[in-house]
Amino acid sequence: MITSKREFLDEKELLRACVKQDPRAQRTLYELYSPKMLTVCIRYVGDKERARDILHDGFITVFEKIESYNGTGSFEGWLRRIFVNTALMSLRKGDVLKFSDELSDVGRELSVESTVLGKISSQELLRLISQMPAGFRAVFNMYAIEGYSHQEIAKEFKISEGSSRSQLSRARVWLQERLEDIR
Amino acid sequence: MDNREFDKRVRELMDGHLEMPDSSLWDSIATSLAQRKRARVLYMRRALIGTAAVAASLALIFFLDSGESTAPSQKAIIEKLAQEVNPIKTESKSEVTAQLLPEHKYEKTGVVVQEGVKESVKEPVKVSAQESIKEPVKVSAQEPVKEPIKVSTQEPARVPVQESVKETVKEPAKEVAPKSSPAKKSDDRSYLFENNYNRKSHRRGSTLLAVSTNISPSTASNSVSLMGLSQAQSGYIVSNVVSTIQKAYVPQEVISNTKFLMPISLGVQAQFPLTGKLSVATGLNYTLLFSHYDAISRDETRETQQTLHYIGVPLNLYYNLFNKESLRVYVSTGVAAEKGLYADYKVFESGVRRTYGQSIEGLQWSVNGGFGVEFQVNNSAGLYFDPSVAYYFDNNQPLSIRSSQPLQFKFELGFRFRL
Repeated sequence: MITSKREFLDEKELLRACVKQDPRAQRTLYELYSPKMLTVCIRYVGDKERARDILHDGFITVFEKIESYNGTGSFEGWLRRIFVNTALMSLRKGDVLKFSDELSDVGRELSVESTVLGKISSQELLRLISQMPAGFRAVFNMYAIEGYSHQEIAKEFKISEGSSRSQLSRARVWLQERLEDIR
Repeated sequence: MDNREFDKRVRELMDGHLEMPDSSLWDSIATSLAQRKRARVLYMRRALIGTAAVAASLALIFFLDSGESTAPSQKAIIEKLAQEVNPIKTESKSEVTAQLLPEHKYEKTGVVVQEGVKESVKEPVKVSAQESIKEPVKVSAQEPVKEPIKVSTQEPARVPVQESVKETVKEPAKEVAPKSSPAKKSDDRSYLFENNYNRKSHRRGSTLLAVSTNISPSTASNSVSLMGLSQAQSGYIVSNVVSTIQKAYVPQEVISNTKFLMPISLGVQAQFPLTGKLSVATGLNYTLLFSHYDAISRDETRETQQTLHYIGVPLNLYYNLFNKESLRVYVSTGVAAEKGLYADYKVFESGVRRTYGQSIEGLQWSVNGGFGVEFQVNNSAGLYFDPSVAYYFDNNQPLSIRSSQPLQFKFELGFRFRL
């Protein structure tokens, strides 16, 4: 399937060709990153059909804005940020992000055993994350997987940092309960 | 396990996961990219055509308007009026003139200045105009200057003014244009209105040359099924689509989201007066019709961009409803025959573009009716706007906005030049 990858020696050359809107380069870039980015999209929106639409819109943005990637930081990080932003924009439009009030159990340590996550497949974990309530899912993805700070999350969703911490804590508990059920 | 460890394990699992998108997604992305690219190109092309048309029209207006004026200059007329205000007390003439022309500079106007009789002319007067001055200007108290002053375009001539008498000068010397007769007092006023007079006379009987652009706003789109003739919604449309997009390319597939973009025409037209109010016009126009077809089959997505090139000859009748000052309002009706020159196709398939074309058979006939407004920009040009309705007959032409929506609103904007 990925036959055209050999036409480009390295990522820089591939990106240069994409800036010139070379269709072969665009397709190669798509084939390289679409599986990873589709996973990102599913994690955020929880629905494969919707994730597909976000992947479509995200790649359109990528190919139209690719000249703005200045080479600082990894290209995959730049790419991932575009897809996360596209997914968040879609969630905001759908008005599915509901954030509950701050809780007192923030910072509670999880009781889940370390071996549980070793036994579960990535596919099953993705399914569980997809089933999370939208607000939990968004904060959990941004903090635990993408590495955003609570300050950034609070700014992104226009909520307090405490509320962000509360969402994260609830999300972890929610996921832990599902993992315990699997065990 | 602490929270940090939990997050790390989840991150590792998710980073290693790859979810494969279905194969049709890339085609969809490639199609969207191609559409956006073409939209940008189309926008730029239209902007360039519009700018070029406006620039060419303005250039033509300035070119036609840069001819010699047959009337005396405005300042000469004001000089004359100033003389009339107080013909006896000529000493005050310069004051009146100064009031009318606060920044009056004689050297630049080409007007020979008559100083008051009690003052001697201290400096020669500079004159610049069409021909060199062969004789000095003689100023007499007995009679107005009858000989036109001959002046030169080459270089300003210094003309010594001879002061022959010490009586009141009744008529100041003035620049006389080659075609104008020596002034009588009553005739001078007519110069003020000469332009208007000329415009009216032009309107009544002159031949007009029009340069115009024509757009037809359209939101039309349709879905055409090509699954088989028996399932077709309209035999006409199907037969045309099949002849338009080559049959070999569309064996059995669904064409959906057919979009028609705004047609654009450029044209020239000559208008000949029949009576005072009625005129007939004919000319030549060039029209571009743009269409997009998204063809979706079981295995692939294909997008076809069709551009039809037409050249046409309109024949229109115009009837003036209102024709005063700088405004003309009229109604029009007519017929047009257009010959398709070429059908140009760009096919985008899986990100790969192919282009091909074919000739268009037959003629496209249409009738139209509307009204128009023309604003006189200057003596020789007018800006006009003609909204109209046109009906395009079924003449077995390729599928376009005209076959999908035969009744169309058109907006024509252009310049008319008087020959």
